[in-house]
Amino acid sequence: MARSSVEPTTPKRNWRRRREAIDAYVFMSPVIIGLLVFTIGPIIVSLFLSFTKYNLLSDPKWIGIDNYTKMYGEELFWKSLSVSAIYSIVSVPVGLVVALFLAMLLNRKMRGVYFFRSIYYLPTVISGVGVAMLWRWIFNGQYGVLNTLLRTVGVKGPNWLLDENYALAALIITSIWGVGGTMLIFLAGLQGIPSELLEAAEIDGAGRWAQFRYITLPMISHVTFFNLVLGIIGALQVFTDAFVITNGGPNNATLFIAVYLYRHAFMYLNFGYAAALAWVLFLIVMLLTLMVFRSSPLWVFYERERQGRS
Amino acid sequence: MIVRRRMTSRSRNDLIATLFTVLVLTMGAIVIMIPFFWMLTTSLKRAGDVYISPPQWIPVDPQFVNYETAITRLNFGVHASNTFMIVVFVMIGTLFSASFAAYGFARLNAPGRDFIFMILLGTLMLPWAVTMVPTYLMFNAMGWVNTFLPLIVPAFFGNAFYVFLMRQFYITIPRELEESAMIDGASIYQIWWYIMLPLSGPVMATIAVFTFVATYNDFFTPLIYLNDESKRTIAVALTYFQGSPRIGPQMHLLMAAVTMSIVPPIILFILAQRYFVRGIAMTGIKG
Amino acid sequence: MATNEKGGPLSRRRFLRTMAFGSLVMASGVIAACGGAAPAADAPADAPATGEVAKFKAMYWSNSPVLDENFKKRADLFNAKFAGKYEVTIELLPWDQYWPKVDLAYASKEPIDAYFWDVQAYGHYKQGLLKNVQADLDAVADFANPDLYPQEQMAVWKFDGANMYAIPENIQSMALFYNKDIFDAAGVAYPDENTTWDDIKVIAEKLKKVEGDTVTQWGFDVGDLAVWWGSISLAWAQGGNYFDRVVEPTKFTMSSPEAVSALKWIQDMMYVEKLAPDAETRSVVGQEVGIFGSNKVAMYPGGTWMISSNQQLPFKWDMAPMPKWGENRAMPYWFGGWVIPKDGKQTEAATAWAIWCATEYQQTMAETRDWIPVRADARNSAAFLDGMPSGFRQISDSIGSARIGDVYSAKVQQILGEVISPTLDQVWNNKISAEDAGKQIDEKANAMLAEG
Repeated sequence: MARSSVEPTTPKRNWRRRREAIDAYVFMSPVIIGLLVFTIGPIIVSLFLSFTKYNLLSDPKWIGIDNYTKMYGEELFWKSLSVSAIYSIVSVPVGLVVALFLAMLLNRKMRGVYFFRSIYYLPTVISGVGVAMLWRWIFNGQYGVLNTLLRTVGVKGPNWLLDENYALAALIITSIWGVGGTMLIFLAGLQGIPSELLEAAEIDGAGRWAQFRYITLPMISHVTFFNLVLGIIGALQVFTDAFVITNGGPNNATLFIAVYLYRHAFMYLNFGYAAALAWVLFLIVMLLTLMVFRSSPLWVFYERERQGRS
Repeated sequence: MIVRRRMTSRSRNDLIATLFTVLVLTMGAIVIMIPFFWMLTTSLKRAGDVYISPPQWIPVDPQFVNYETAITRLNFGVHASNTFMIVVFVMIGTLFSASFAAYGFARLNAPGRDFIFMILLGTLMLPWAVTMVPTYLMFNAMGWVNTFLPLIVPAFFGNAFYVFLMRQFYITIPRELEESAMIDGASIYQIWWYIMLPLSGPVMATIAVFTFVATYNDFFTPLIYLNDESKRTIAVALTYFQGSPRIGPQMHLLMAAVTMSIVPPIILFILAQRYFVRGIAMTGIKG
Repeated sequence: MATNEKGGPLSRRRFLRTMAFGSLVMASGVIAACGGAAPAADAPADAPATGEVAKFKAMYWSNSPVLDENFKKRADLFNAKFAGKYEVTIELLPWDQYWPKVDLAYASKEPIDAYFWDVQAYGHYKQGLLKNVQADLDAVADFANPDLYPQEQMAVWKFDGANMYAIPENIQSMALFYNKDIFDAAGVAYPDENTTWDDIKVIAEKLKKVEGDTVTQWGFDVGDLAVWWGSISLAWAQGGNYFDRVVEPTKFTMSSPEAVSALKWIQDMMYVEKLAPDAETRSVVGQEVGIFGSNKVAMYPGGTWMISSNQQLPFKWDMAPMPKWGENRAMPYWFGGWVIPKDGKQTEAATAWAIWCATEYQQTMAETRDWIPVRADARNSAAFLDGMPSGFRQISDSIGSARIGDVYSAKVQQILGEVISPTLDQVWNNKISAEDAGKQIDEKANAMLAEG
């Protein structure tokens, strides 16, 4: 601690430490109270409910791990896992690449750059059910604007939302449309790169690609890491779009795990099973996040390593 | 010589690169704007012109009356004032709790601090559906259902994501400022209040925009907790034109309502945008 | 926070003022909240105390702005009529969120006093949560009058075989909607009560128009036949069915010859005879309102709830009874009505509301023409029929022979959602044959029924 600049005697240091701990708890108190009151309780209850048969209407009945074992045999559970997996595997990296590309373009000093930033950020400002309805309208095979546009260039667009092969793709497109938030975070990262670094590299004869590969990418690896973790968490929990735009169809092609969960919770009245699903989903997200964290020393360039510079 | 030649070729390259950038950005912007444009034209169509093929790009006979209809049918003013009431309190609560708690996580040592922080971050990974029912039952037992409290109060107790952002920001601030204040006899609370807060403008602006957008667009929480129509928020009220599974939506009115509903967040973003990128850059998540 | 952006340190006084104001508003919010919640929650405990107004909530899903507004007017009428005694507040929600909210209310042991029926409410009956309203209905003589209320149809809500658990207020069926302009232009006779499903193919052929390789006018659209409760009437007309009984089915019979032939008829219309637009072509947001409204479809079988929307169409149209399969006609019906939780805090007031809707309000319902009144004299009153297409009377008169287009079982939502709808979608997209679909559905659905 920086505050211990004067070397105190042991009891005094203890007192200081205790004092600091008390202050720390006071500062953290909103979070601690919030966790205790609004989060931990409901989490424990939902964990309990995941071991019960509960339909919301009558009292829960303890059934042990039945909900979890049942899941294993459910075709649709695996289907929903694979839908969520495919969606995440495609939308997260594509989203990152698109976001980074746009951020690099928007990181130039030129007129109108603020205007463009606003436009690209717009879609994230207005997410919500209304916009999901709008997408349904846009992807309409016959009247939709997307296929109308494709027709003008001579392509017969698929029937996006009603075709098993395209519905998931349509949802991925909507997710890419809303890439503005990720883009802004990348942009902030890019602005943190000291321009001397790039100039020095250029004078050394590094081409644009080399600059990007050996300077930009490592320098923003922190940001990439941050966006990747948030992207995974977000992608595995996608709900509103899938619920409003396709409602899981056609033929379960967009049955995301969150949609499957919602159906069991509120339509089929298997709330206990839904709670178990939620816990499995939570564990999956946590495992993936841990894996990303574990892998980070391999590719994330830590601030610490160049701290000597400043 | 060599340097010089490189410079001229570089400026030519720059020009080409800028042109390329503008071209790509413009094309991208058009793609981004198409849904908005479509929303706008649909909102100005007559009911009968919505479902025709080939679609009308520009409404033949623009129906500005759709907006009037949407406003009167929706009772827009009531829903807007509910929404803003909620949004303002959530923003105050979030900004206060995030900055206050984050300071503890960033600067002060206490047993279990990192453990608490991990748990807090872990809540980010929790699917909302897991805790929704128990939370509802809890708020119901407290008599809070059909009030704004379930929507507002939790904001005063810290949101993991924003606490994280603020903490990352505080970590980047040099300690010298605090140390000299401490020598002058300032308490840690005064330091937070007089030194740290004034430094965090852009980060706070960023969090404010994030909070505004998330709260403004939140559909499920107000839907679940608010019963009276007079208490509904804009996001919930929009469903008014959604129709039922058997009777389709009133697309022209729905789009008029959606168009109006996105105006406030857009204005806010434009106002905050100068601080915005800087705010993110100031948090620890920079290169 | 705006104050922060000015850059200077916030003054403590300003902060305190803000906080004081904030807590003031918060406190008033809490008080208002308690004030708002408490009487509603506490008063009912000793509710029927004389002189107290019994306030209760009725919930319904929202349909469309006009219907929703008339629904609120209905509540105003009720409140005016029972001023000082009962007072109803309406809550309308989108259909998707309606059921979660009803269920959450049950979960919190504060059920909604009266809510609109749909098959989900059968699950509530199964849990023993619904009030038996038989005695309340018995107290109103008219309900037993077969000339006023369709007795046989209403009996479907006697889940235990003897007692009613819901109070019907409107009735729906299916009919063949047709575009008169298209028929007139082609000089083809309108369909009528003698038209058969075979005739439909002949007529549709005559009305189909092709330019190059695109169809510019379709003779037929499968409409609501694409949903199981629509296509089931084709199986009924052949003497078949999709399951062995309506209440607590023990077996799905979608692989029976009649059921398969029903599915095949629809699939063939799209992909063999190509007389109806296929699933891809009929992709329209919402329902068939678009495809019929496009003025490019000569006829389609659809629910009578579309009457009021279709009335805004810019061309002449009418309706005929569902076509016959050979000699037999089958038509489905559905009730709209109210269920009342037995543990509600205002069961008496809520029951009074439901009964009022089903009796006194019927004539007003007829005048608004939002819904088809369940009560025959209102349904057949001039006020109602004058605003209806001329073919409507025939449909109204044959309600007595209609069959319920529902199936009641606690497991049914999951079977419909996980098995029947996705499999039928594959049939409508021509991915599998009707035979295979029937087999697959029976196999999976019966397994799910068995596991209970």
